[in-house]
Amino acid sequence: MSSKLAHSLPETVLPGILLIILMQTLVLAAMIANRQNVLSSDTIVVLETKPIDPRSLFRGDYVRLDYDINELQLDELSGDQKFKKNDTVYVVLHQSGQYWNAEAIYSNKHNLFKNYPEKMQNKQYALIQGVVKHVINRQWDRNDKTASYVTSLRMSYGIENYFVPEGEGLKLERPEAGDKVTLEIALDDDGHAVIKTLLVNGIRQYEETLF
Amino acid sequence: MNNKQFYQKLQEKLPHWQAQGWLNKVSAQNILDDTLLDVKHSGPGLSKTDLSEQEIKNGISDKSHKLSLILGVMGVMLLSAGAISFFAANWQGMSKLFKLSLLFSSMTGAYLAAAWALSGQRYPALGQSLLLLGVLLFGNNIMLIAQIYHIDSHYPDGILLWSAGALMTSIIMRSETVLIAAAVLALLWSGIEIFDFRQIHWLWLIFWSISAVITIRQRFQLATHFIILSLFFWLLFSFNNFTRYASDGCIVQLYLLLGLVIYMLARTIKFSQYGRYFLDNLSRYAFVFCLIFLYVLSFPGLDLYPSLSHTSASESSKAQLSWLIIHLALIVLVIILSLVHLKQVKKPVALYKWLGILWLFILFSTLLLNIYWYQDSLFQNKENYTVIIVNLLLFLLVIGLIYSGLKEHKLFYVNAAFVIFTITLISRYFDTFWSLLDRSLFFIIGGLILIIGGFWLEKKRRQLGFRCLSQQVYQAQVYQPQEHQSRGVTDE
Repeated sequence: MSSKLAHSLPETVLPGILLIILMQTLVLAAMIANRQNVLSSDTIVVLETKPIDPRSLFRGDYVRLDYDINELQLDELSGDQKFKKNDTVYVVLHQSGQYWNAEAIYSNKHNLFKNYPEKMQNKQYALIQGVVKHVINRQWDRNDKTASYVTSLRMSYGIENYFVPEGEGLKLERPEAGDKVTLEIALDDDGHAVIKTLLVNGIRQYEETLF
Repeated sequence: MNNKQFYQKLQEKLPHWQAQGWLNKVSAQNILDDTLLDVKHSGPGLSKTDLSEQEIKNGISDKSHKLSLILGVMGVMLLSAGAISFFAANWQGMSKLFKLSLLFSSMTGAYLAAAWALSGQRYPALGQSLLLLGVLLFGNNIMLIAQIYHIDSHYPDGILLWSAGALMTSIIMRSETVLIAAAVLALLWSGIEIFDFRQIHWLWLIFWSISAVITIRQRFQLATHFIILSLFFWLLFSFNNFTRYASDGCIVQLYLLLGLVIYMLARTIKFSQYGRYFLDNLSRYAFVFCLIFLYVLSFPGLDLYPSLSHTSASESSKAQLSWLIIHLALIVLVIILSLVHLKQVKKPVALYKWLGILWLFILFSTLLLNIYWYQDSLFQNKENYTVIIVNLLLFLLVIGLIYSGLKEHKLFYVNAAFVIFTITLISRYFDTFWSLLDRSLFFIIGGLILIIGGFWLEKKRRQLGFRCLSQQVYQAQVYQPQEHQSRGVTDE
């Protein structure tokens, strides 16, 4: 096979190889530049994660994070009301105390800025972009054991995975009862999110730096 | 012994024959030159002028190249696995910038080393391995950058990017090894989309088409098999997503018809000599694909309800109608392609070909009857009627294949007929006699049938195969000017 390959090779190999290196490097550099750009943003929000379940939260050296804003109940939010799976949406976050919570949801950024013109200039408001993973139209109340017709959205913001150093994830893997894991998220103007810092009980465990 | 091996053997033997005085130097050289021409002709779609002397000699030393390539590829796999675990394990030991520069320089280094090995055909096998290493490191880099920056997007996109990079490399460097890697990666990408995200992944077909065009243009032999097989694997992967709104039986019928369409398409398309090799193999794989689904259809109890998700009568009849339309469309396509094919074959068309058309007609009627009549037949306890017809059709197909295989000197069809006959016979024995006979008697009779049947089948297959080959040799001798055509048949 190889000799057939050899006979069909272009006369000069180097220009082709250089083209491959250039194009593949550009693709990889674009991936990095995109994340570095968001990391260098001034907009930082602190999000609370749901209580850690040691059985399912960590898989080896990567952590699966479940934020409060991963599950949105539409009757508690202003903005649009109709969404379908895989829709890209914009969620308005509002700072209350230390943490940031969802306040409104829009499928169209133009509508959002029309309804929140002054608030989006306010430092206490921020914009995060996400994708609707599931639309759930009924909710089961464990306490009352009753079902109610509420539309809730299961969201993904691209910040649900956090890779921790090999062997150092153990202290996070089995957290003491009552430990609180919070994250600082960097956001760019379009609402793209990148994890900046992981904190346990307010103490910085891992911090992402520019290079 | 193929032509290349024969040429090598002659190179060894001729000096000895000359020394013995059995032939002179000129005759020896003439014999070698004549054999060299045969080597040139035996490549897929290669003409006399396509290969130079040096290239033939390169081809003859293929074995050592293949071994180097296999060892090289294995080494590349190990290196790639080592690289990814090294970066993952030394996670905190290096700064982000150092890690990134190491990632980029390793990939660039692999590509530059490939350029060095490939230029002037210095070390072609090593060069191909290094090119593959570059592609694997590109994928490693995508994954590791995603890890460094905690990128959590739609994760099959990473593999799409990887396979696109591999495809681009194979196009620029005309590398068969990298094209095979790209095909495997693309199938992985599509498989994840299909199984994890439950969708029929049409986008993959674009990737497949580009790979197929490259394979044909570059006359890649091994890649031909990989590319064709990936198409049928992709169809099989999609089975679950197709069946979401239909029963298994309907999809089996759909796959049978799809296989027939691909088979007839491959037989009908007139292509350049390079494309012929690809299409010949495509038709063979499609034929096997058809046989598998015809065999599945020969089992009783296959659920042929047109729709599983609709319960009301009107919705059910709607689903029935849509399946009927899909079947009819595919049947019409097969008929059109068959007619075009009949036009292309020598006139007058042989009787067995007309019988083949009749066979197809009965098969199509059975498939349509299954869709239209299945629900009624269930109530009348007649659901196995069409299964009996399919079994009869399978039996007739076996006879037809042996006959046409002998007529057209195509061993492939004779072998396929024997395989499908054996498998069906064993299946029907288990279906029918499992409950009718005492267990020990069942196994004893079964064992005896298998041993005697195996012996008989092997004997018959050899006889027929020998007949096939001797006819080819006879034809080659009688029709010397048509040598190339008969050689094409020998490949079958």
